[in-house]
Amino acid sequence: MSEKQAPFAERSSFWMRGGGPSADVIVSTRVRLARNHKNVPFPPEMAKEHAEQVLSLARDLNDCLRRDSEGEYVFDFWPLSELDETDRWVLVEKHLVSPQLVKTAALSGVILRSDDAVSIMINEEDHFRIQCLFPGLNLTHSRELAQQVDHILHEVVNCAFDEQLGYLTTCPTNLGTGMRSSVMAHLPGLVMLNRLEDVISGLSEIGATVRGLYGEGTESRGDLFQISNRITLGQSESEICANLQAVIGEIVRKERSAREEAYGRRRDELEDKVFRAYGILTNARMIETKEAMRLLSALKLGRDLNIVTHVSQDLFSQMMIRMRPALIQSRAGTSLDPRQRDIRRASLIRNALLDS
Amino acid sequence: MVLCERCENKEATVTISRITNEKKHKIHLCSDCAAEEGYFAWSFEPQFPVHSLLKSLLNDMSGKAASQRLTPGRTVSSDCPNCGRSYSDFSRTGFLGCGQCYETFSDTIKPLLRRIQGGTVHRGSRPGEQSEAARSDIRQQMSDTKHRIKKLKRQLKEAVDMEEYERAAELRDMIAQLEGEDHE
Repeated sequence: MSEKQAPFAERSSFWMRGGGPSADVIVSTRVRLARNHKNVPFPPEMAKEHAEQVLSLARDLNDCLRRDSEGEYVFDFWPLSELDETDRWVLVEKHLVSPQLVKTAALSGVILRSDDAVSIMINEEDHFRIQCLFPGLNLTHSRELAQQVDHILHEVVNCAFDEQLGYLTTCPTNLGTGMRSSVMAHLPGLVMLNRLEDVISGLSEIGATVRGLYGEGTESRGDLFQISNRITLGQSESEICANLQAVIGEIVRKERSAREEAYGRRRDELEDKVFRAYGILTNARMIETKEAMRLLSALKLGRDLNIVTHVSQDLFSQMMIRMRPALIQSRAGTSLDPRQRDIRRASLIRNALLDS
Repeated sequence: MVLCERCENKEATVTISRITNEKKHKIHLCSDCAAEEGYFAWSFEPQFPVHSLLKSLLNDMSGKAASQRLTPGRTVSSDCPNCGRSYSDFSRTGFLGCGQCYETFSDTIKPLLRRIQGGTVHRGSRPGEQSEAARSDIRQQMSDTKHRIKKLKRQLKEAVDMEEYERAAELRDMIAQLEGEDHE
C-alpha cells in the first residue's frame, strides 16, 4: 500500500459523470487507436532495452501533450513499475488500462489526462494505445479527440505504416486504422423479454460485434454489453464509426421499446424489482459486488423509466466503478478482506444514494 | 482435471456462458481468471479469436495444398529476418513481431485478412495528414448523417402515406436522434 494515494484513484473520470446522448441505454463510449514505432520490435519480440526506449518516447509524448493543451488539462505519465499493486488495479477498475498491462508492469506505463478522457497505454499489445472515453453515445467526439492525440504522437514517434496495409499492429485484427470503437450498452429490457439474441444476430456480417455475459450471469453483471466494430482495414475511420453509430442507434431504439413493453405488460413486477433494489441498497450493511451490480442495474432501469426520480444521473457509472475491490481498498488506505470490503461497499452505496 | 482455458495452468472451477454475436458458448476458467474475466476483461476490449481462425485457415490451406498435390516445403516456416519472430510463434498466438513480419508471413496473412477484415487496402488516415484527415472525416461524417436523415425522412413520408404509424414513430425517433447528434 502506498503512503500517498495516487491522484487518479479518487478523482471522477469524465465518463463516470454519466449523461451524454442516449445515456438511458449507452453508458460510455471508447475509441482506441493502436500505433507502433517503425524501428522497434513489437511487444511480443521486444527486449528490455526496446521497452525502455518506448517508455522514454512516452515521456516525450507526455511533454508534448502538456504543451499542446496549454494548461487546459494536465497530462501525467505513470510507469506502472512506480505504482503499487492496488494503484495498478485501480487503473484497471476505472477502465483506463487493461488487466494485461498490469501483468507486464515492469516495462509498461500509462499517460492520463487529468479528467481520464484520454488514456494512453504504453507497451501493451502494441507500443501505444490511445484511448478516449466519453459518457453516453459519443463516437464522433471520442474519435476526433483520439485523432488529435494521434497527430501529436506523430511528432514524437515514427509510426510503422504501410501504404497498402495502413498502420501495422501486433495483431492483424487491428491492422489499417488500428481503431476499435466501442460502447457499453445497458440492455435490461432486451434481456427481460429474451430478445437479445434476435437483436444481435447478424451483426457480425455488417462488421459489428456484441459481447457480454449471457444467461444466469447477465443480471449480476448489470445487463451490460459491449458493442464494437470488428473491421479495422478497408474502411476509413469515419465510415467505421458511422456504420457502428447506425447499428447502435437501432439497438437503442429496440431496447427502449422493449422497456416500454415490459413496463406496460408487467408494471407491478417491474416496480417491485426497482423499489426492492432501492430498499436493499439504501439499507444493506454488507453487499457483494455481484448483488450490488444486479441491484444497481435495476435501479438504473427504474430511473430511466421514471419509476424512481430521486437518484442522481451518475450513480450507476460512479458506483459500478467505485465499489470494486482495489478502489475500496485504495480509499480505505489499507488492504481489506472480502468481508470488510462488503461492509465498506454497502456503506459507500448507501451514502451515495442518501446524498442523491 | 479440466484446465483453465485462459491461463492453461490452474484447474477450471467456474463455467461461464458467454455470448458473442449470435453464438453462445461456455468457457471453463479457474477462479482467478473468472474473477478477471467477469469483472474486467469483458468490459475492456473484445479479444477476437484470431488464433483459432488462423488454425482453421492453416488447416484449410494445408488441405488445399494436399488436394491439389502442390509440392510442400515452401518457405512459410522461416523466421522473420528483421525481428526473428518464428512462424510457429505467429501461428500459435496470432501476434507479429515487427512491421516486416507482414511481408515475411504474407502468404498466411493475406488470406487471413480477407476473412477477418473488410478489405485488404487501407482507406483511413495516414501519418502526417492527421489533422487534414480528421477535418475531412468530420465533413464526411456530417454529410453521412445529413444523407441518412434525408433518407429516413423519405421513409417517414412513405410510412405516413401507408398509415404505418408505428413504423412512422420509430422513424421519427431515429431522425430526432440523428439530428441531435448532428448538432452536437
